[in-house]
This record gives sequence, C-alpha cells and structure tokens, in this order.
Amino acid sequence: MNSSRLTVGIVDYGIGNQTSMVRCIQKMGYRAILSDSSKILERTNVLLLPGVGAFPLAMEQLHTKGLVDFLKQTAAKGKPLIGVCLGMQLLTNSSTEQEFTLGLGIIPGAVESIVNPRWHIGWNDLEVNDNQPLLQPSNNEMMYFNHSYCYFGSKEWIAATCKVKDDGHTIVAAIRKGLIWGFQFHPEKSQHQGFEMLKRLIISGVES
Amino acid sequence: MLRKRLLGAVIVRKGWGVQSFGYRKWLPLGRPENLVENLDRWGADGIVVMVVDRENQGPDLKLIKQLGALGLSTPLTYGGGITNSEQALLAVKAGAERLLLDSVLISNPKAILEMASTVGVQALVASLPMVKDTNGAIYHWDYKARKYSALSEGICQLISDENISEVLVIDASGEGTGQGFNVKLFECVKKYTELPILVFGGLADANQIKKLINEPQLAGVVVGNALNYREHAINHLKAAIGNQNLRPHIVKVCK
Repeated sequence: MNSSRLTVGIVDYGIGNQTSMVRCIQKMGYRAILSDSSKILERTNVLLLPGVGAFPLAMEQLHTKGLVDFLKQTAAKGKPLIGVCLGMQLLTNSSTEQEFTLGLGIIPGAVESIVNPRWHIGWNDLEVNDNQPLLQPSNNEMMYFNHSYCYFGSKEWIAATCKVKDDGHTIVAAIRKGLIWGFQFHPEKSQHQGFEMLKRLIISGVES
Repeated sequence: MLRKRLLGAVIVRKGWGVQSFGYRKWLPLGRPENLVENLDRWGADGIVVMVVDRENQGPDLKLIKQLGALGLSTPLTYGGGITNSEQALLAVKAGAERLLLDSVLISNPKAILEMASTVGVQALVASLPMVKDTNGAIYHWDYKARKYSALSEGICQLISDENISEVLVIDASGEGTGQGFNVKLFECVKKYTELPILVFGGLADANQIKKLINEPQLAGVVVGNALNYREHAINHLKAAIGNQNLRPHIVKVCK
C-alpha cells in the first residue's frame, strides 16, 4: 500500500491528547482521521486509541459515544488497533483507578496502582521480550512514561517491560494480542525512537 | 531505570516568550512557538510553558493549540490560568500532556480533585514558588496576591495525599539570576511529600545542577533563560553535567 494513502483512525472519545496524536501521524506521512463515529473509523486501516485521563471517565465516554461494541468487534475481526497510555489500559478487563471499572476486555489482564514507587514519570529503557521481533528494534531505547497505574496479567500478553527499581522490579511497558498493541508509554512524545517504533508497527499492522 | 530529566522552560508574557528576572522584570526573547520548537528539536527531556499573565482569563488555549499544531515530539507541560476541570480538559485536548497548577492551589484546592478525575492525577503538577528570607525562614510566595506566607494546610494536604503527581519547586527570588537554586527550598517542600520533585529558578550552569541532581527525590531540573542563548544548549549542558542518572542526549529528527 502507498503509505501516503494509509489512514489511521484516531478514536475521539472526548478526553485525551488527540491533537498530539493527529500531528504525529501526519508527520509520518499518513492520513489521520480523528472521529467518534464508528462508520468513519471503520473505513480506516489502523485504529489508534490515545489517552491522557482517568479510566472511569474514559470508559463512560466510550459507552456514551457507542464505541465500546465497535472497538470490541473491530478487534475481533483482526483490524490493527493500538492503544497508548490510558488507551492501552482501556484495552484490558478492568481498572481500579478511582473505583473498579470494567474495560474493553480485548486483552486479558487488569490495571492496578503501581506501588513503591507510586509514580512512573519520565524516560525509561524498554526491555522487549525476545518473542516480539516487531518491537525488538526498540529494545533498550528510552521512551516517555507518565502513569501511576499499570497492567497486571499473564506473560502471554506482555511484550515489553521496564525496570523501576535497582532490585530489578519491573512494570509492564507494552502488551500485545495479535494485531492489537498497547503501549504504556507515549511513543508520540518519545521523540525519534517513539516515532520510528509507532511507524513500524502501523506499517506492519497494515501489511499483515 | 527511570532517568532524571533536564526540562526547558519558556516563560510567556503578553504573548511573547520572555527572559524573566524574578518575575519582576522581563526581556522579550521571541515567539513562544519558536522557542518551544527549538527545545523540541534540541531534544529536551520535557518542555514547560509558563504563561504568567493569565489571571482570571483561564488557560491560553490559543497558544496551546499553536504549540499542539507544531507536532512536538517532546512532552509539553502548560501552566497559567487553569482553575477548573473544564479548562484542564480543554488544555489537554489542545496539546498539553501535563498541567502546572499555581494560584488554584491557594484559591480552590478542592478543584484539583475534580481535575484529577477528568484528566488524571498523572497530568497534574503543583507549582510552588518559594523564597527564603534573610533570617533563613522559608515562605510560599503567592504572586497573585503578592504576599509571602507559610505553605497552606490545603496545599500541604494536596501534596501529601498525592492528589497531584509531581511538584515544581520554584526559587522565586533566584529566578533569572543564574546564581543557582537554593536547595533549602527543595528540602522544605520534601518534608511534606514523597512525590517526585522538579526544581526551577536560578539554574544556569552544569555545576549548579550537579549539586542537586543526585538528590533521590529530585525527578528533574527545569532550566529557562540559559537555554536560549546557544544552539543545542541542552546537549552542551547535559555533556557538562555528565551524570549517568540523566537521560542521555539523543537528537534525531522525526521524519
């Protein structure tokens, strides 16, 4: 596919940093369509679920806009879907941020508070699992994180981690189920290395 | 492991990026978009935009949209005029990843809880301008009311209960002097919180930053004026600091 004709649908659920994501995709040379309409979003090649916000309000917004079933069905059909930060957390079964809230349930697992340290804000090295060749070029690259809740789930779905303490304690940085990816970090705010990683995954998702 | 950050600050007044001297005197530096774009291009670990004249006007959404339209690949923190959750949401949608909260901490600390449930706690940073008087006493400077006072109970509770995610301690009298950040201010604030702390004000060279950077609770330093005098100033400063806890300097342009 001619990459300039590739269209990335950015799910607009009313909260989050959509502007940053739109400009990032446009810089890659792809068309970016920001929409809350399932009819418009289903005509795109890849879906991106961005997020800066709180889990309960985000799920409420997805329900209000009638996007929950659309996202579940789209993922089930095998369309590439990438969740970023809160967008990644929304892909899971549930979160305890503020209150227990059900998520989209697209990738098994749950989101819970990080403990000791409570916050993970800044640049950290990505440690990519050996069984993730698409993500391997980003191994040991530094990405920008900003969160206090993170993914807990089976190793089967974990694609990358990062160390948060000297004793080797890690948290999950990326999850994957087929063509569905979730990144706890912000590739769109991780400068060159995040940009290249996101571009690679978008192309590979479309070519699969 | 998480690295400490070297962030670039752009202070905006009357629509212009300015060099600030203790928030009392100002010299124009250029369009804020250009200053921010430079920091993005030079590989800052983060960019902090502080608009100092938004009293009763809400955030400068026009400016945030202009910055958002640049397609910055560096995290952007915006401060100035945010007083409620609706404004916080609009600022994030326009392109700010994080929000610097100042006068609302004093006027309406309860609004912070609403903001947290809208944009998430991780997006909220408390801005605390502090001063040390000649007798060694440390005060919080309310620049809106132009008065000094002890840190209020409301603020202490906010930062100890972790209803925000980071604290920016500003050396209000050192700001713009290049004479170094007064570490006593940092020590004062950290008594009230276990949150990661950023510091700003008076930092102009590597030796000043070296004195602070190994503080365990320090998450990063914010440098303003000193980054505007030289191309790739971030790179030169990081090289001079030479600390492995800082993110290594990498500049590759996104194409």
